[in-house]
Amino acid sequence: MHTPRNNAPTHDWNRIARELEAHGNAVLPALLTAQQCEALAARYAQETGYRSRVVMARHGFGRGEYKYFAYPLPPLLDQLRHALYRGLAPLANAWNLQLGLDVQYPSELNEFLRHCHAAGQARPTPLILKYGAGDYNCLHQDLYGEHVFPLQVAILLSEPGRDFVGGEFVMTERSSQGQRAEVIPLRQGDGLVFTVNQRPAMGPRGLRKVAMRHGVSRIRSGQRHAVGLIFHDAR
Amino acid sequence: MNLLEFDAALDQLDWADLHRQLDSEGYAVLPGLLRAAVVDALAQCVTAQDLFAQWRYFETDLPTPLAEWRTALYRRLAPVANRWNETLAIDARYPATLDEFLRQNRNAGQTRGQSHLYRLRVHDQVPLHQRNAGFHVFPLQIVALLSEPGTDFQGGELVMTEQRPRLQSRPMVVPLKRGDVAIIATAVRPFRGSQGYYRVNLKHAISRVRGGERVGLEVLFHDAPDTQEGGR
Repeated sequence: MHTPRNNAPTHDWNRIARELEAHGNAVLPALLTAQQCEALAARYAQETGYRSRVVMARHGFGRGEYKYFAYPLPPLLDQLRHALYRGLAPLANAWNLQLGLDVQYPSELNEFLRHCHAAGQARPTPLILKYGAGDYNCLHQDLYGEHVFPLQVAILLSEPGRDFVGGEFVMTERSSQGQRAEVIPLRQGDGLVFTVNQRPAMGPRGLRKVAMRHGVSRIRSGQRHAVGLIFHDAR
Repeated sequence: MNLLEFDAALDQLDWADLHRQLDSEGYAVLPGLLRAAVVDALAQCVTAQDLFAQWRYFETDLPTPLAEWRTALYRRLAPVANRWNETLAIDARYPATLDEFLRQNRNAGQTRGQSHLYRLRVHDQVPLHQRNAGFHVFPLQIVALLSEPGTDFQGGELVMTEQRPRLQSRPMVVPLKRGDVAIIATAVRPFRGSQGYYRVNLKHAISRVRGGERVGLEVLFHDAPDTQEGGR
């Protein structure tokens, strides 16, 4: 099988590693072009290509909705998922070593997905979200079973200020030291790599484990689309 | 801007709408309530100090305009506070004047002022917190911004989290510009769900400042217990 190759700009993985270590997240500027963003957002309304649709208010997740893509993923997202995984797997492995977890991730996504699928996590997790005025997403973690890749990527498809107002991406971090909250500024096409659940962080008494959650504040006006690339699949 | 002017500015606001916002979101913004000259004067209380001073707490020495505004705002917020307590079946009721409320605080051993100015520079942030120590806790407080986002600093958003029983927390970002005053829930407020009202727990934080310098103000209506550390 031909392994998809990424045609996106090359990333400064050293910078990304440093920012992830310091903050648990790192921006990947201009991961997609405006055209690519708009094409993805436009296909939200299509019936085909998705495995399910979730209306968040029905589950107490917030307000707004999202759709899980079906396999095969749109080629652009499939390429990105493979390429980003390849860059992030060494970081994920370093985190697990620091946290004393004995799981190590293979260098290619296909191999990791084989493990997921063998363990019954076979449904694709990449998703596209649609928020309108008044919508928001509660602070949560995208865990779908025993197999967890500790980093994931969100891509903003809409332009803040022009397409929507409000709708900030918010992360919280809880440790023995307390809790902090952070807004991560994103533009249309920007990606954000962030912690799925836990990460190692340097504290005053050495390495400690901190738990992170992510969510989206209320959209005050307009419409906000985003894509989520999660590397582990779901039960 | 003396008390009469401030009172008049407060009178011009649509309080019915502000009460609705407080009930539905747990916060309401009063845009541009503080005039530029006042903002500058307040900011200087902290920026004129030595280079590394980040926090300035006011014990009982709240600067004149601030002490008067606190009195004027309390008077308008006490009815909301009482309504919230009634909704949540909390017995405490707040007196009509701040003087009387502060007397009750003193009698309960709460004498430490909690209002403060703070200066945040690049990489600084304020963790998620709530100031609800003591028997007397006023359920609303003030957060004001004394610097201009985008110009004076980048990042530094006011973030709130709202924790609901058995549900995921809701994140909120309160949009503030220089001179804006936000009224926010101190810790607990009633939330109307499908099964009626229940209690939700709120905290607030200032997100990491990514550049420049951000000066902010918090005004609390209740004082902290004497035994409690005054700082954060």
